[in-house]
Amino acid sequence: MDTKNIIEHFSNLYAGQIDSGKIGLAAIRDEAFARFSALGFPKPKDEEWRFTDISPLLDIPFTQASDVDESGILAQSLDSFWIPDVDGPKIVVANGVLSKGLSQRLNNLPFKISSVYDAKQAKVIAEFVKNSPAADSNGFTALNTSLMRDALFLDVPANTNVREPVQILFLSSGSEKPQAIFPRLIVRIGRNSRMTLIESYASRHESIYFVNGVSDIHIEENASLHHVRLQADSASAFHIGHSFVEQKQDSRYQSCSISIGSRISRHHISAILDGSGAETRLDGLYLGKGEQLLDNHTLIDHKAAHCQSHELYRGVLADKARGVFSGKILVERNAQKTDAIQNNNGLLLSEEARIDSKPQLEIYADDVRCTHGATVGQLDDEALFYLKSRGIGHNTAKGILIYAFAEEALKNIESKPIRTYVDGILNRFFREVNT
Amino acid sequence: MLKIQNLHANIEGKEILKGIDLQVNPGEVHAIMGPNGSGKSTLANVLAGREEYQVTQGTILLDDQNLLELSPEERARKGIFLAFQYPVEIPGVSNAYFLRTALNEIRKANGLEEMDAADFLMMIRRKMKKIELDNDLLHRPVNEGFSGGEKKKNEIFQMAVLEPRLAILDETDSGLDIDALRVVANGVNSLRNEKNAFIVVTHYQRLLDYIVPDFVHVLYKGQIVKSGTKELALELEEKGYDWLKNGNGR
Ligand SMILES: Nc1ncnc2c1ncn2[C@@H]1O[C@H](COP(=O)(O)OP(=O)(O)OP(=O)(O)O)[C@@H](O)[C@H]1O
Ligand SMILES: [Mg+2]
Repeated sequence: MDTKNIIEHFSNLYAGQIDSGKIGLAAIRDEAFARFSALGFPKPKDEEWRFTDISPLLDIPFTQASDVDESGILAQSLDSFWIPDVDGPKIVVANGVLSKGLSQRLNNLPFKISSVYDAKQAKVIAEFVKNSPAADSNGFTALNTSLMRDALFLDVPANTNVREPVQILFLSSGSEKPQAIFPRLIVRIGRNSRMTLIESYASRHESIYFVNGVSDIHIEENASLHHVRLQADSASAFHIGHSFVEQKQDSRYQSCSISIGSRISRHHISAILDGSGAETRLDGLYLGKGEQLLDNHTLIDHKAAHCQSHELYRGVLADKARGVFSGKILVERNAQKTDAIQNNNGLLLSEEARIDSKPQLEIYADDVRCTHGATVGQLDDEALFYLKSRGIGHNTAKGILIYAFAEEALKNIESKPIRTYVDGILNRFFREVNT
Repeated sequence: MLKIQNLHANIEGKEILKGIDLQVNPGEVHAIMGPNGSGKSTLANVLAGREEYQVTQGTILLDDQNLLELSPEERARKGIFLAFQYPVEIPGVSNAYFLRTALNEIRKANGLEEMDAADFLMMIRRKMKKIELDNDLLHRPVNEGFSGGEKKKNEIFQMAVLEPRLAILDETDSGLDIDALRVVANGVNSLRNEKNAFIVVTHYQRLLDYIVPDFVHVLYKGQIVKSGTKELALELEEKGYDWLKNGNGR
């Protein structure tokens, strides 16, 4: 489809959607849709999308995903999506809409879970949506704002330690007709509070769909969020996700973004360090095979002084898979004593796999320490021979080396059960690419 | 145990080994000496099964089995062990995990049960003491950041754990201080028995004072130009290699 047809196509979806006027989003949506119409989807010549050709996505006439019939899905059928031995709430957002029926343990929590359909919270949510960078960042985020059918809001009050990790499953129901889903998540961690959050994307059926999600994350003074994001959508799905993180003074944000699913996937994180003493850790792991394209874009905006950011992304690509990493560190004029480290390393398991890497430092303060490094390589033959010469079989030896490489990006996942679960994903990936 | 006949091997199209004959029987220690670049490490690597080397002629038999048909890991499981001249660093893989995986793969291949973590730990503690290897090296990534001597000791430690039938030590003595040399030699000597054998590649007579060889061979330009008993090493120490280069070897 050309740009005009695309916009027309989505106009029809827009016109056909359920009216949300009474929750105060209508004006915001109209504005966002006008932005989308003006921006369209990114074009190949846009610098930010140079390595990521989204044209296969634009050729598919997606329809707005319909409501999921909760009674048609047994809660048990979602068991494999939950991390074993994690006792916190299990929240299901099905086709973009909070499903209380499929969720578990929503009661007696030290924080509030709500959606745009909860009258009491609708105003607050509308305010977050309105002020989100998503409104006009690019065509995708504008489209999410105009077409999202719900927004999930996790609101952690001040001085609260949420002990058990919170899991959110963004489930795509999958159907014959390719559907578009617009998940929206808003998280606020109040002053001095802490939480661990697992945000995962998956489908019960292998099918073609398009997830275009936005997460707005606000971490207030001296609060901390551990965030694991797991993109495990269907192999023929398209996934575009934007996480907008805003950090206040002395807050800590620790993210591990794992991408393994989808035919074309892009995850963009921007973290704005807006108060002194804030710390950000962005880790990421992308595991690609077949003809997957896995793209990670990060932007760390050091606005305030005495902040630290550490970033480590690692990618393992087999077959004809492609990886893209673009990491920008922006140090603004007042951000003295910034300490920023960025690393991106890729491991290619085949001659045809490829990684395009683009680190960018933009520094306007003078008293800072910023370093970045990027490497792309293949498995070390010497190391492989060394392991084999000790009796370790070829595939096991390969697995050991790949695991050691990938693990580096998972080291900061503190929760044992989460780490074990992610290790399982890694192992499955090795088995698949080794056969 | 090991029978090498007329072995020729290339690397990147260049012939390095030009007809090697060598027989090693159980219980024996063979020392291989020779100038830099003569092909000692090449021979060691060919025995271990390094894929980069092409064997163009000749045979290697291990107990009547064609060794050249076996992959490096199969050779290791049959009891071949190479202590590398330059041990490889493997970031992210702990020494202990690596060794236990290796030991259990070898045990499995030989019809033995896998060793559990507790038994394994007890066994390696004992062996580490013998090699005087620092306990903390066990939990560090394989060879990463190890000093030159620590890497060499780590090779001997692995050998002590895996208990190979035929160990090839490629200049394990280079870079060791006097005490470490004695420790390494003791490690080798305590493993020696009538069933296993060693090929010790070295430049120095000093090591052979501790590990006394049954035979000494001189490798020169890809061929064994002279073989003898331990006295040959003394003679080499005294005269250098020049007298052999002039054709006196044959
Ligand atoms: N990858 C390679 N490509 C080309 N030539 C090689 C390669 N590896 C080894 N060689 C050559 O093969 C020859 C024999 O090398 P080898 O390492 O076997 O010698 P060596 O006897 O072990 O020497 P040293 O005593 O210095 O360890 C040398 O000339 C070396 O340069
Ligand atoms: Mg050598």
